[in-house]
Amino acid sequence: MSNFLQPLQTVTISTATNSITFSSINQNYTDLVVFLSIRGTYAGTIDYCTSWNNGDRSSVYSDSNFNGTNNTYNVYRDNSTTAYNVMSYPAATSTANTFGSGWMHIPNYASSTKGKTALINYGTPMNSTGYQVGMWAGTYNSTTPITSVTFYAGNANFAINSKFTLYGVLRAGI
Amino acid sequence: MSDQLTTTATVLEVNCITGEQTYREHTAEELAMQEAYMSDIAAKRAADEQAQATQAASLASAQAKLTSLGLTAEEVAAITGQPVTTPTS
Repeated sequence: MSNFLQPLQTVTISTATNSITFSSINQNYTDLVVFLSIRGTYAGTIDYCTSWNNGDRSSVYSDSNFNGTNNTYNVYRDNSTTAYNVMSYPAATSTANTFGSGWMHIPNYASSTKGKTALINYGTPMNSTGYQVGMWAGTYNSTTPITSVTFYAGNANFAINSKFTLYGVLRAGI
Repeated sequence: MSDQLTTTATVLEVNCITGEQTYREHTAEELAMQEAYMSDIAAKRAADEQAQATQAASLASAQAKLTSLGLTAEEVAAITGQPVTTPTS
């Protein structure tokens, strides 16, 4: 077993798909990391990916966002929701073949005593004048260990060639 | 906002132990949950944007009052921490 990043599963979308669930996640790592390279089929320049854990759609999630979109910045906060936001990504009317990139980190995902917090950094090209870069912090206020993670395409589907890679992290010294 | 979600939307489930990938359709319950979530978020976003617009209007009003007292634009910016904005109406 690696003591760095252990690839667990990679999914490359071959047909437009609305949601992806990684299930039966090994509980022997300290953290989970997901790399996302995604594009959407929604008829706009941008769409939004959301996520939840363990199929749990109760109101135990919250999230906070800071993003720069073109030359403005925005902040958002959501409480007691049934999922948390992960990242924006280019959609159907954005520049062809561009994909948003994101890194999602969930420490202590297997804990049965702690709530879970995901930290996501992302960048989303839209067109020659449009770009969004930002971060989300999402909280899953549950002590249930995370055994599955679901990603949901906001308003339509994830486009072909979108890719999700799940890694297990084993932190040294633990 | 969520009018493109349909009961034929595809779900991909990946078993991280076996590697098996299974496609299926959303259940009606799953769709209803997600549409309720997105409706909730849309309402929160609208409230956020209204609050931000109100705050921007208050800032512009305060800056205008400071300017009318004789402060320069630089002085107003120094006090409010924001460049002087031009009223839009």
